[in-house]
Amino acid sequence: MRPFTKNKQSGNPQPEACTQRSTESQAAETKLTGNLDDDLRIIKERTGGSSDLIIRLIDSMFGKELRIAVIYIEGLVNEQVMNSSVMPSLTAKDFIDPHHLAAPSEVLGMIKNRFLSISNVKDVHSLDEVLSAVLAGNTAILVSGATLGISASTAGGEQRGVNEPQSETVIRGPREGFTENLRTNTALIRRKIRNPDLWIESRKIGRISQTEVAVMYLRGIANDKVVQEILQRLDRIDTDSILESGYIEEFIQDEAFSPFPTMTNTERPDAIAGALLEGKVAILVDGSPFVLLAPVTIFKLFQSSEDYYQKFDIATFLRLLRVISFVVSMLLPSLYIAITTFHQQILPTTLLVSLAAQREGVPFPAFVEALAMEITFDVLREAGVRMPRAIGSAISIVGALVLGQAAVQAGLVSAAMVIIVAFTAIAGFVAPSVSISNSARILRFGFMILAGTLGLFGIMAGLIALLIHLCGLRSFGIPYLLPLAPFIPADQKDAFVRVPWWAMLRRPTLIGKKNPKREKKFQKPSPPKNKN
Amino acid sequence: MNRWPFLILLLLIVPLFVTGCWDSKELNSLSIISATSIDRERDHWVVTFQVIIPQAIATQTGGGGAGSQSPTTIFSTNGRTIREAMQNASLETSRMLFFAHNSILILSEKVAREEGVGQILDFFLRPFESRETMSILLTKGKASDLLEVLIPLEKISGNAVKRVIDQSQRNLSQVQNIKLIDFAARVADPNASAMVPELQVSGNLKGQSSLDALKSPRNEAVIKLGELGVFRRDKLVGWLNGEESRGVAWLSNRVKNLIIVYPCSAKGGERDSLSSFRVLKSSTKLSSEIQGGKVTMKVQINARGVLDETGCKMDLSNPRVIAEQQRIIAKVINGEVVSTWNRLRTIETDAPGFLDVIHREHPDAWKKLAQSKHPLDEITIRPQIRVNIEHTDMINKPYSTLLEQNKRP
Amino acid sequence: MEKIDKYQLISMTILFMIGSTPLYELGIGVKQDAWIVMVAGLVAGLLLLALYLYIQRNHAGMDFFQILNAHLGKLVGTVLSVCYVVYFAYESMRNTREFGDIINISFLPNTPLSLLMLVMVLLSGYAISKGVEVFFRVAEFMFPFTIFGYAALFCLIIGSNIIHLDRLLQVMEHGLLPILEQAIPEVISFPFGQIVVFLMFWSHLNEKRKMVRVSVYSYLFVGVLLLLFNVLNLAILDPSITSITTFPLLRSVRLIQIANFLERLDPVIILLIYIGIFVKMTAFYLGAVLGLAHLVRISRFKLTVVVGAAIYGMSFLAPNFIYHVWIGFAQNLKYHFPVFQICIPALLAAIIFCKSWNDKKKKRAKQPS
Repeated sequence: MRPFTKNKQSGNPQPEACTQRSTESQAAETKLTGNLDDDLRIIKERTGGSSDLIIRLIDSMFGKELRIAVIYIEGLVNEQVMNSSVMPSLTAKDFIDPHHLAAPSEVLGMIKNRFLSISNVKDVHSLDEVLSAVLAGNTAILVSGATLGISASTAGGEQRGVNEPQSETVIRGPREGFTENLRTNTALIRRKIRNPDLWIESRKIGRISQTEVAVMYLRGIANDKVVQEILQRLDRIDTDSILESGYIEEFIQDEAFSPFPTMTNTERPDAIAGALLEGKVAILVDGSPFVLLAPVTIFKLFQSSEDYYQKFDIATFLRLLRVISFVVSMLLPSLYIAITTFHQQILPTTLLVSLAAQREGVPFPAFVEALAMEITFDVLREAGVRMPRAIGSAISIVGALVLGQAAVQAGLVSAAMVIIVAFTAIAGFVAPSVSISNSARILRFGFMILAGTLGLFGIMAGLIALLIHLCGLRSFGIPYLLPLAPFIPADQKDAFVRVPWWAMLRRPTLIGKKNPKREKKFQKPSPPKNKN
Repeated sequence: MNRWPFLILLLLIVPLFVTGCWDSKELNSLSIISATSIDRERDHWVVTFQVIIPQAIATQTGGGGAGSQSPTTIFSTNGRTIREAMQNASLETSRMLFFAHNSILILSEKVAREEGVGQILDFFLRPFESRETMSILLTKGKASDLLEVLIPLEKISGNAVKRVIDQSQRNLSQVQNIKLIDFAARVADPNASAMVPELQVSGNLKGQSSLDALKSPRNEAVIKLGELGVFRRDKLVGWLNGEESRGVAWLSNRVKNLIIVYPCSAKGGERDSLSSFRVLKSSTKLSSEIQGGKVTMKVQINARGVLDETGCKMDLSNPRVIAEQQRIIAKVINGEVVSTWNRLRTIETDAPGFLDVIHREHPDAWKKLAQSKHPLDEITIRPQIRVNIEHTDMINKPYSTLLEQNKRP
Repeated sequence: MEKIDKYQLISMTILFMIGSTPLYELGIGVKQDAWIVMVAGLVAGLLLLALYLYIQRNHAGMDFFQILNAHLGKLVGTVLSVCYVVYFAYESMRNTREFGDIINISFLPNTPLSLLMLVMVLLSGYAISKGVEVFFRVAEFMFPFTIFGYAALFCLIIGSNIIHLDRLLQVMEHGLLPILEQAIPEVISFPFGQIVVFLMFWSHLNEKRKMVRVSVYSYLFVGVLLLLFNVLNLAILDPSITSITTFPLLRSVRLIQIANFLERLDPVIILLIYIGIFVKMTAFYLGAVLGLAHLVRISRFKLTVVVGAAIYGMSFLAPNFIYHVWIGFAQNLKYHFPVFQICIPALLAAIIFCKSWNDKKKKRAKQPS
């Protein structure tokens, strides 16, 4: 349950270079007739007389000759703007010269250019444009007799404010996170990179939902090929709706069947800003606080934006820890199975004896035991995620006490197995990106089957198969295991280790090669030379 | 598309993986063997295993019956080959015998003398699960008896014996832990002889093999290391007592920590007060010299250590006194070395590997020696011993000097 | 054309040469002098490498089969190509069967050999179906881990104090002759001459200038590494025990004892060995696939399946491991492999040399006129 706060938004002042290719073809279909009654009737028909569609007719002293219709959807517009900027201008006394019946287009021009105190105003030519403007939260103004109307940007209404991101909390770093509003999100990024080279290209995707998707990149740093590739893949999408960035991810990722994500997502504007500066491309989807990033390499998934804010030594340590935890969460249960059921000779005698004593009386083979425990844990975890907070504590008590303690005491599972499963689970939570820890979660079961059949050899075979898969994987043309395979010595500075900022002279080679230079050399801090 | 054949193959393989687990052995289906002994009865091998009972050992388990159960149990089986004997064991155990944790192998004197260890080594070097680092021990009586003795403080007596050997090897260089692999290499070496320590039981064996024995503070019987068995090729040929095994240790550069007891003066007899010298560091260099067809082994021993204990009255801060002490110690070592060499010559084993040295340094002389019937008789040794007392620990004069002073007034 | 870079070539050369070699004690026929046999093989192999590099240097961008066709004519070239495809597949199969049996002997005695080998061939086939670039990247990724593994192994051995260097003494007791007899051609053929398969890969290198230097340095590095493990086995196990042991390295590793905790590491070491075997068998497999691609025009994927099936089928030829090892070490290394590793390349190099010499002479003849 996320706390919603009322946030009154004024219409976004800056118009963007929007290209709306997808709607152009439809626009030609139904032109505005100029007959206001007909037009309004069609609009009502098209929307099925939905109760939130508000059509306000303003009569003039010329009666039917000159009428103005204000069309908007209640809830999508900012009521304050409507009441203080739109309506007063249309109902103003000196608005229409009572002695002279002006031509409709003239009236429109007057509204647009003189009276309407709204910054972002556009002409609309067809009914479809009117509808899409209205559905996007704008207000359409039609004048009887005119074959074009205007749409004023009044989007607003109730929306969640900028909060601390829930899924990625940091100790040090900015506390703002993306919201569901695309414009808020682009603004959050622009506030971090105030540079005209930060370009946004928009698309409307989803035949029915007409969701706005924005591709954001730094011109001159991002690889043009990658940008073109992303735009092409976006254009190829033909679906009815895009409700979350996850839809886009599945449509445009490189390998359809891979347990590993070839795009990552984040809720943090600072992470996006950092990635854009490395030459990556962000994809923002209206209605989702999760912004997609591409291309991504596997080591990026083990990095948190906080790594760059903390001191480099601890950041390096944490990165290594995360990689190790990932491997542990993927392999630990299978290693336990392989060693205790295939290669007991590796264990020291005393450890073997104590493990054997624990297993005494356990009715299942170790493999089944491990599988059951892992599934139990995943069930518990899933239950915990969906449960309301209030019940959450009950789940953890049942999980920890009943399943852990009681199962061991009843002799159903061995204590060592509980330790293994618990540690595996905790190690799985270390990864900063949920998508990579989910890969480990799935692969874990595969490795357990391999270990239960062929022991360590099975695990090794699985690892090699996984490695081949990863080596073949590309994220928008960039090899997935980038700084290691192919090996690029210069990029090692930001893979496993993070070198201090003054040593990070160049951008990642393949991703940001257009403008590789990042900073001036010789900025290593040193004590002042003249000691007093 | 291309993927179909892969998918079909995958579908075929997955069931194989799920159903097959050919080599998995659950921990609770194993009999973990901690020690093995081999005896010979007429034309049969008698193999005895000491199997660990995990429940009796682990401190906290579901059963909770620790303490009331003997920590180990013993199986004894026989067969025409060792493997057959082991197979016969599975007729009487409910679990699979698991050899990988076997830490000691005890051979009876009879086996080592009469059958030789060739086949035993072949058997233990062959299967992948056997452990090459297990310690080899000899015993004069029945080897299986030793497995029955319970050792206080320890639960797994096989491991305990290994620890006894390790511990005494550290503190007393005359004992040596012989690993199976080293033993095999020594036996195979034509220029050296293998040596194996003896393990013996002293006291009442029957009393110490029941669990009740552990309840009383005094043990009815103890396991202890005894003499040193010497092999010629793969057969046991004789035993060296404590003093002789120290001599072998000197000759083969194995002395790391050893106490030398010596009298106060060079001509002092048994009734004189004694002192102890603790060797901390020692090196032995062997080199051969050929003079007119005669082979002489130069044995250069350089021992350094501390004076650990003394009952003599002398001024230890005087370098001349110390030099005198060093001479006496050297004489004691010399005596040990010479008497050991004489003994080795009589049983014709080249325990320190003299022939190896000659082989390396004078291949021609070695060829001549190798053809000789009694090659050791043609070698004489010349020990050169240097002893250095580095300090006298925390007191620099004997305590007894205080007693002298008190007497006077 | 798929491209590989110099790091990938280094990794591939080293992992390929490591292969399963550390597992065996080459040249143990001369007891404690086995390591000298290794040195002799290393030097002779270096000459062979120079020969291969000479062939490649003169034909940048062409792989071995194209060179064969260019110099020996269509007919002979095709016949030899077929022979080489069979040879590569056979070498790949030798590794498959060998490691299958190693696992059966020392790891999983009851698991069916057919399944183990199937897993291995499938893994290799999967790597090859992804292409040359991906396979080289796989090797590149494995490389640091493998080297780290061997380095750690070396440290553990040092740490557990089981090296007795005096066991190597009496160097060249019986003179040089038996050593050379052991070294030529066996140790050249395995492992050093196997590098002939790189004639299929060198043409993919993106920096052609570095080819010779990179290859030679990697070769020397791996030569020293193999020599080191050869010496270690002798020093740890004693030449006598080494000579009767099937896989000396596994035995040496089992002697590691550190702090009563690290013992019996052989299952872990087998996995380390598997990396080498995987790279070697896949490289030969890939060589066969690339070669066959010149001869028949079907898709890469189908070729991979066909060659993989052939390798899998061939690996059942030997009735048992003893026969497999015997035919490999006593027959192939002496009589069959030298043909492919020494004779044909030497012949080819001679032809190339004569041709280029003729060209030069012609040029020189032309210039004055």
